[in-house]
Amino acid sequence: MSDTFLSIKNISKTFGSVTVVDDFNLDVARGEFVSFLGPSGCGKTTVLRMVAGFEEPSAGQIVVGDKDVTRLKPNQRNVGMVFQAYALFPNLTVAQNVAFGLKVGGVPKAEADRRVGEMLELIKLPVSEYGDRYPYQLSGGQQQRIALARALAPKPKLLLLDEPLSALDAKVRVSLREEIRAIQKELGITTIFVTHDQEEALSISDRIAVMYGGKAEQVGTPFEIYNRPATKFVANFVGTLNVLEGTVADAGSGKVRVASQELALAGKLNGSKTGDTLSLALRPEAIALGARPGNDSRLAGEITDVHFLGSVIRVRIGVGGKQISLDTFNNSSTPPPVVGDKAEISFSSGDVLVLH
Amino acid sequence: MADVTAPGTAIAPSAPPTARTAARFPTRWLGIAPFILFALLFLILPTLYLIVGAFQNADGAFSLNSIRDLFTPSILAAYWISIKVSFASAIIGALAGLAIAIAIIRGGLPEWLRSTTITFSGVASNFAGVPLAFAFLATLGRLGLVTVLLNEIGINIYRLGFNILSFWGLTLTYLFFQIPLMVVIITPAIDGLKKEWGEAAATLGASTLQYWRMVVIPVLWPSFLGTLVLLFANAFGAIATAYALTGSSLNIVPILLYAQIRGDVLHNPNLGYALAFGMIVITGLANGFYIWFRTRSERWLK
Amino acid sequence: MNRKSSPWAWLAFFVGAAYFLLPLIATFEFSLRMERGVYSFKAYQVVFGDPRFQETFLYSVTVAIFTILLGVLLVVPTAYWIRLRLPQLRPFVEFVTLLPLVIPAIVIVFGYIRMYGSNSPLPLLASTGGTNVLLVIGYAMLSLPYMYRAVDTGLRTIDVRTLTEAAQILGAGWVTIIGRIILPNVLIAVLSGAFLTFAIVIGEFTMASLLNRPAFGPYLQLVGANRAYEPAALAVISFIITWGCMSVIQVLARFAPRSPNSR
Repeated sequence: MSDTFLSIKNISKTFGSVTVVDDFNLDVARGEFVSFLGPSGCGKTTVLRMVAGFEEPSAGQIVVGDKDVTRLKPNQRNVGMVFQAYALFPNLTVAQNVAFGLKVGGVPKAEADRRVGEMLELIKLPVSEYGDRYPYQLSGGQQQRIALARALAPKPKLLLLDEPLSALDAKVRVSLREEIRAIQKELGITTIFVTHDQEEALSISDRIAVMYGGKAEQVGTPFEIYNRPATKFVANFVGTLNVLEGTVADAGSGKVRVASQELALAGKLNGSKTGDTLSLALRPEAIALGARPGNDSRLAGEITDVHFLGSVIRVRIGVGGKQISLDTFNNSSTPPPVVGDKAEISFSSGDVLVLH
Repeated sequence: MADVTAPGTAIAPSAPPTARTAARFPTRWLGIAPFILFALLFLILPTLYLIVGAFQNADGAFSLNSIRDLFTPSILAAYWISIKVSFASAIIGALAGLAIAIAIIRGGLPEWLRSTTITFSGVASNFAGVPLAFAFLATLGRLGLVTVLLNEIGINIYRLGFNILSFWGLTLTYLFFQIPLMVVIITPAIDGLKKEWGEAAATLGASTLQYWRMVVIPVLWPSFLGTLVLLFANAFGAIATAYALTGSSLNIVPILLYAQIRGDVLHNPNLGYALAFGMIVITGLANGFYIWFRTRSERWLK
Repeated sequence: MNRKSSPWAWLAFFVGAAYFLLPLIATFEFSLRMERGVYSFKAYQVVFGDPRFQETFLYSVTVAIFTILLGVLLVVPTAYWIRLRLPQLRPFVEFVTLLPLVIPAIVIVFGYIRMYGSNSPLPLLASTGGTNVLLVIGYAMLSLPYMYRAVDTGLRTIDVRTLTEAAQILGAGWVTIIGRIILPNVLIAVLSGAFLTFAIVIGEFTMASLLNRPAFGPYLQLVGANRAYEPAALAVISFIITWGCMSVIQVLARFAPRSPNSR
């Protein structure tokens, strides 16, 4: 990251004897979109609130641009924030809500009006139609877009999004997240996005920090996080995963024994010795039913479950007492798999994740 | 929301075949007939009876004499002092109650203080009437504890012009139920202020003062005003406390009306009706003002 | 926003606490001074030993119980029916239930005295029994705003329509539905309203006095006008009764069913 804009250095936060954030570090580049992903209680919101200034770090430093903002009050930091519960001021109209930051910032009325118009244009709720409405007259999705416009109006240095999509229904959630990403790219604003939804994080982020127990388990691009999870937690939390227990049969040749069948995983064992137990993880989409060109590993089992999901069929296969899920495309010309049939699965040894 | 659904539900059941509607129609309305009958007989008609009586003379003919007789100096003075006491106790009670409610909810005081205060407020707001007068006589009467204690350190409040049987004495006494009533009613409104509003305002650069001026006060204003009107009506109709405190030495309207009902002290029964009518007009005006203000200026309320 | 307590909050709290606690302390202290030179509970002994105290208190308790019964019979079916079948009448009924807060009690009772005298079509005031009934009705009106709001809040937390339809499918009639389904479900709310009604009615002065009934309120006034220390003792007793009623309501609130979408 060449052009670091936000730098979170060795941040910790304790409430009484409970450590919520434990020595968290992250550098965010100018214009970058970074997601904090993790289960509730992992400390992601606390980090965000420390960046916003609502919580004071117990230790560490937060630098925005070249300025140490660790001890600044929230209203001196020039950040924009969007909350899960919209948090629009109920007594103000849409236009007055968006103008709020400009008004308290002393922006002249004419310029503020122009800026409000611009912002409402950006979120496609034109001022002529929506400007005089009150929050209760808007849908949740509309309210959240107004909240975004309000946060962006005073041209903040940072945009902080605290689970902004969680309160919305599924369809709006997808369309709004795409809109947020488009606006963020257009304005080039450095953004932190907190979410517990891995699909959301994967789809819109430049980088993701997966958090657990107050620490960053892994920081990387969505591609890295999904395909090369650094820890067992990340592998399990992001995406569906099949985990098989195996024993190293011969460390030299990379032979691993799984359910009394043998796999060749040369070069993936990083230093495991013969007799060690390993967790092998596979994404469902990396597994094929039957043979497939390029798949050098195979395991035999029996079909235990078939779920028809429309465009794909999720098949569960029992391999030596373990269940493996895989997805096959629904093809109307081939008969669907039948429960109880013997089946062979294949995959590329390169797709196997060895978790320690 | 309500103005969209209400007509819809009203129309929908009456649209299907007429035979069924006719059979169901009376039972639907019979369900609240006892309530309506009761309200009519024991709330609305007695009130209307007095209002009509206020516009009649002793023979039952239409007359404005009784209303005109309200505008004699002694009756006007009674209304005036009633309005003054009610307004003073309402506005001071509302402001003090608001301050206490904000202090216990937003002031960072310990949680147990908050729940204790709210419980106590529930008790004190219902501790009105005769016993309240006894309590204040025992406190600030000529032999009251506070009077005596202050006297011992050289402050004779009665020589300084204080009298429990006066405008300020009565106002101070009324505050004992007015302040807690405000606390009880306004607490949910303050609880309804979302924490995120303050945080949103802060990230937008607003100072605490700006946040209060632009969001908190406008949001609380309708509840505040509504409670103020309620406190006013509450004090305006109260008689037991004042009567037990001052006998009939403080000439407020309810006491005057009480004396009139007991013994026609005004020597004109219809003037009693006019007196009651005047009370209804004043509390009605207070409520009308509140409703008017609310519908005019608070369009953001659902 | 922060967990630090503000000095202004403490100031507001202490000024308030002083204002509210001083009269209570003073009253209690005063009530103990009946015997010269020593603190004693003499005033309380005198009060409790007074047959007029016992009679009037018993009378007011009886009236309060009848008021509560009348209030429940009037309010529960009405509030239920409004929620179930006549939601369009809600604003109207709510307005009516709030009227007793606008029309002073003294005005209402004045109207009763003029309308239900011995030569009216409904001469309730002609007999003692009729006057008692009128007093109960008047008190039911006074407590109507509180009772209605308590019950309506209770009904809001349960799904009235679904419960009713479920009972109807099982063959229940209206009496069964209200008595065995709705009432038990809003019992906590009804009890809260009942204790509030009790607190209001027990020491009420205006209506009882103008209807010439031997109730606790007029007795208090009479003692206040003629005695020195007993009123203070009575004030303490009244405060304890009110406190008791409110505490019961607080305890009841903990058992109330919570609405899934309550704020």
